[in-house]
Amino acid sequence: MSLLTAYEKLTHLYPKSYRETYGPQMVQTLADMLHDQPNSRARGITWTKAVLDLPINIIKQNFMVMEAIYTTETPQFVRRNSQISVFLLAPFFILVTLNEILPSALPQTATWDDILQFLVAGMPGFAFLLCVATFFTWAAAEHRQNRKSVWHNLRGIRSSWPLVTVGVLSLMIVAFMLGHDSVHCVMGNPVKEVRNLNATFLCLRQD
Amino acid sequence: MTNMKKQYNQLPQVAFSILLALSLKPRHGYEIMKQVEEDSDSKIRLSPGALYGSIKQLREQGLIEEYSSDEQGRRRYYRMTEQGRRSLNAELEHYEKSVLLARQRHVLEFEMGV
Repeated sequence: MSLLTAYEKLTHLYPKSYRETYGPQMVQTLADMLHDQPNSRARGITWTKAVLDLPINIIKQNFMVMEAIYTTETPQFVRRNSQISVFLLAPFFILVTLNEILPSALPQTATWDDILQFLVAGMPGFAFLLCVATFFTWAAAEHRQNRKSVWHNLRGIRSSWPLVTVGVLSLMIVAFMLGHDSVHCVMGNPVKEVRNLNATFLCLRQD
Repeated sequence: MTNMKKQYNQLPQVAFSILLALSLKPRHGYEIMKQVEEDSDSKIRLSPGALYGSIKQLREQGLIEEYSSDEQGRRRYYRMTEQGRRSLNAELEHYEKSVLLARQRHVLEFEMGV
């Protein structure tokens, strides 16, 4: 595989619209750059620099496309429910961060254990359910509009990506907090796992 | 003051350099890249990724436009629009005022005799 072919393959990571317009030009520009280099070592360095510069630009362009879709294509109720789901996940991240910074800051009483358990496992659970319900509602609404099957619409996550992202994240949190045998993992319950996240990860690795 | 700051922020360094490179004649990507490097005494070296990211942004802002392309469409020439020229002039005026101010305050090194 030549250097240019490898570079061309990498440009496929750009969003489709960007790639179609600028992909061939980028490859041509790199070809011109390589052509002007005096030896193979210089060509190698030039190619490496061009490739190293790609990831940040690819991420940037993909984010720009996602942002544009979010503002123009994502339905209002999907946006609203995604934001509510993010809000429901916030306590988990706040408590994990707080616990890492100040390990003894979280209260130890049984009542607080229940409250914390609700905040770190219950609320992500609600977030996940909200995402799933919204996703199916959206797919059904799309079905009414475009007459394509609900299954087809479920696969077309282009305009519902915020919902899918938050939903998957919620599911991962819930699965992490509840899905493994926490008795074997010393901590006993999700709140204590949050209190000692490193030990939980260590335990999970040993499992 | 706020207006000046706003105007200054409208053109990032790379966008300014690209517009300056296109101020003489339409160019394709690699020509723009070489001209920017030459204009900046090799201080600004664009990669294809960064170059076309900026070109896309400038096109969306209406500051440059596609002029022509070769048969395969792999070398496309870009030129500055009227809006681009106005934006570049505004930026240059801002720089000129800043340099004038710096001279008046004896901030520039040659003014200080260093």
